[in-house]
Amino acid sequence: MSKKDYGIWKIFRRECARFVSRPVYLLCILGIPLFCIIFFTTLMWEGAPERLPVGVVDNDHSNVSRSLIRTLNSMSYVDVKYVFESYTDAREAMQQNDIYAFMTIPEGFENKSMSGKQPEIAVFTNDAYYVAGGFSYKALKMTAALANGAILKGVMQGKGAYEYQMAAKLQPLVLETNPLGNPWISYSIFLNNIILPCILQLMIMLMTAYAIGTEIKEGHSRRLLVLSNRSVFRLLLGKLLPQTILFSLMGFVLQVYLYGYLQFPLEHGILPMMAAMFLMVISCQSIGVLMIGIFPILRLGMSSAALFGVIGFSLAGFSFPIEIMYEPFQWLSNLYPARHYFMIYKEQALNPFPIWYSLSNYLWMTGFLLLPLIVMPRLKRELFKQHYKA
Amino acid sequence: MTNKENLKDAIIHGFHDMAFIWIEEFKTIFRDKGAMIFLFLLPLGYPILYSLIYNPEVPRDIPVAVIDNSRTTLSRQYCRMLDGTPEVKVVSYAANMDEAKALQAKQDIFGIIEIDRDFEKNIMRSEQVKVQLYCEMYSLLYYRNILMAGTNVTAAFNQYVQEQGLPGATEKQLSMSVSPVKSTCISMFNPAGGFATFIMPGVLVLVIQQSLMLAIGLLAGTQRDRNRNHHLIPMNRRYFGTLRVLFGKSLCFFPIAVLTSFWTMVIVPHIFNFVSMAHIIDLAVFMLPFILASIFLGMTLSGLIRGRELPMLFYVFMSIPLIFLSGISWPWTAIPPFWQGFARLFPSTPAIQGYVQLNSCGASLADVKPYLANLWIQTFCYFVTAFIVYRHQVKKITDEVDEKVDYIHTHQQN
Repeated sequence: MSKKDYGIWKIFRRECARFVSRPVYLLCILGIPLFCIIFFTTLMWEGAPERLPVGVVDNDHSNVSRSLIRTLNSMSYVDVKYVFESYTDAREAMQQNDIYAFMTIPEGFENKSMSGKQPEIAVFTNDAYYVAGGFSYKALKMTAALANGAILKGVMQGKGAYEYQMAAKLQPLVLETNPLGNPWISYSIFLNNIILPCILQLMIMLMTAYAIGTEIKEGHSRRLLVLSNRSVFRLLLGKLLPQTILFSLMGFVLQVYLYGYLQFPLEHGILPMMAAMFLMVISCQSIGVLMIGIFPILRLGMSSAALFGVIGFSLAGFSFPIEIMYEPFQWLSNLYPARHYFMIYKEQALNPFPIWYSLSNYLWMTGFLLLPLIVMPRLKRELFKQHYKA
Repeated sequence: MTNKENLKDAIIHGFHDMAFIWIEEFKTIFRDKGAMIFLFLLPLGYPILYSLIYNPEVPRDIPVAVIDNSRTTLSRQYCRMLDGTPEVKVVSYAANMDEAKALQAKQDIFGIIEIDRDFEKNIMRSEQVKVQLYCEMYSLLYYRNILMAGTNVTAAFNQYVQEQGLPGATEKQLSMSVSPVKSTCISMFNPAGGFATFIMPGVLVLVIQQSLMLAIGLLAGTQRDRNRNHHLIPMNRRYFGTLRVLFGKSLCFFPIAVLTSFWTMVIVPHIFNFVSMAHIIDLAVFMLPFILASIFLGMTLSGLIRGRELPMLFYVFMSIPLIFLSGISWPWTAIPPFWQGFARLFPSTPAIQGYVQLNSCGASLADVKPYLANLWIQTFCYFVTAFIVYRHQVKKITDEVDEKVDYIHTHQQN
């Protein structure tokens, strides 16, 4: 090790000492991500929501209507919480957020269905709640279809049809759904694979801006420059390396937890994902350096990292796909390392695609590492001036 | 008599000081760039930004590929029907699964439909046929819409086949024999099933809370930075009263929050045509405790969090758990009881739920009473905690002044 490089280690050691003396560092690097990991995985531990409260408006009060309610209640997604007398009651319950959906069984339902008068079951779902509305829709719709099938089956049995003939007559065509990689349609798998890396992305950018900005604010940055022999590059390396190590460790802990303990789908082993995680950490740090380089005042640098970082949750494209957003947002999404991490996850963990399909995403993330070069001269000036404008 | 006059004087004095603090705080806000960002740029800009992001609402014509192993009139009809749905567009006919997977890997398609070789033959022989639908699962919105298209088309196709089996029947007879029970599905309060309609109410409410909390935290930090001993209030006799400081400060944030709330809850939904069924007065009555609770929560936490920039580290990421705890995405009834209790500590939880009910579902104020009650309880509790925090600060600073006065006195005597 040459004498010049020695500065890096001095700054590195100094930074490690700060981690111990200032609790905010470990709280934000380890505490917040750990809190989020525990929060999100326990929040949706079941994977799919169960026993969503729904209602039935039973105007028939017959054997058939009651058996329909029992059928509905037997489905795992829903729980028949109320049986209403009128549509108005049910609608009001929905407006009070007591139920997510209801169905109406009209008067004379049993009679009409037996005599071929086609009674009508109506299903109402509250789609202001997307997930709850969607899952209860599934259960209610299936109940209505089962009612239809049961009657048809009865009629055909009466006509003396065989079992195998009945299936084809009732449903000539069956659609079999194969959700690729997530056959349980688990929300936990869908969400935690990306929302937790997005939290890391936000915290890394914030903490990078914070670590460098405080030095300017507190007036230590000039001394750091002396330590690093006037090289911003070495200063940044020594200053940010401890965070790189801890954030990467945090990321690996997350991956081991998701893929090892929770057994989330992982097609190509953990190595491609670990590489993606490490690249995400250092590319987020590069963006953090860019932010504090453009706005070398601590709170402005951090504000810009925060305002930029929160949009990253939307522009990762997991809840609302990027492809259907307006074009500027599609383009903008490339500026988020977590978006590329998400694509690598999709291609290497969720689906078994060959590694070269993900190459462009790895390259994008490597490209972020060049960003600090743009602001290095400016950052050097500011670090030297260490002038803090309140 | 004198007591009464003293009290009257004290109250008048208090009001004067409060007005003084109020004006001083306004000046501080407009001088602080960081506070301006969070108090104005965030609540004015971000609702627009998020609305633009989610404005396309629903995916239309999601590209899928078909592997048609049957290549018959019937199978082609099935594909045409699929292509005809608003959700899905058949962009490619792949020869086999490998070809389709390659298209999927290139992100050209998000779903694959595989039709069996004996598709037509089996239908003609009255044997049940299966069609396989493979769905990309990285986005549930794609899955949801492709599945919807597939289910609807299969039902329509089944009806078509069943009708073919009954030549010469009248339309009524056909309908009766195929579906003795009819069913209709009505999507309420979000007729288009749009994503923005569902997510935006949560975002709009949360933006108001976060903007207030961040700005209050930042300004408190500025005050601590300016102060030698990192107190929350300056060394000024007019600040030496807990209530006047509390009211002076909160009255400063309140009108700003009312303005930005009007922007986010009335003007932005109007611009983007979001469902807005709430009457403006109902909305105002509902938002009042929400804004107050957010302000007092912000003031309470600013007593606990030292350092100007720390609110950004601790508040910003919380937006994401908070939006999930509001129950608009992951259903409230599926949230474990522990997290439900945790969620009730934050104004955003009852505010989002109540706002969705009022604004999207057309509920009345009476319908959202539990949420309103929760918000007023929060307002009261956080007012008390903010009082305690500021009382402590006032006490510390007056003690300091007393010490100084004592010091001067003793030195003068010497």
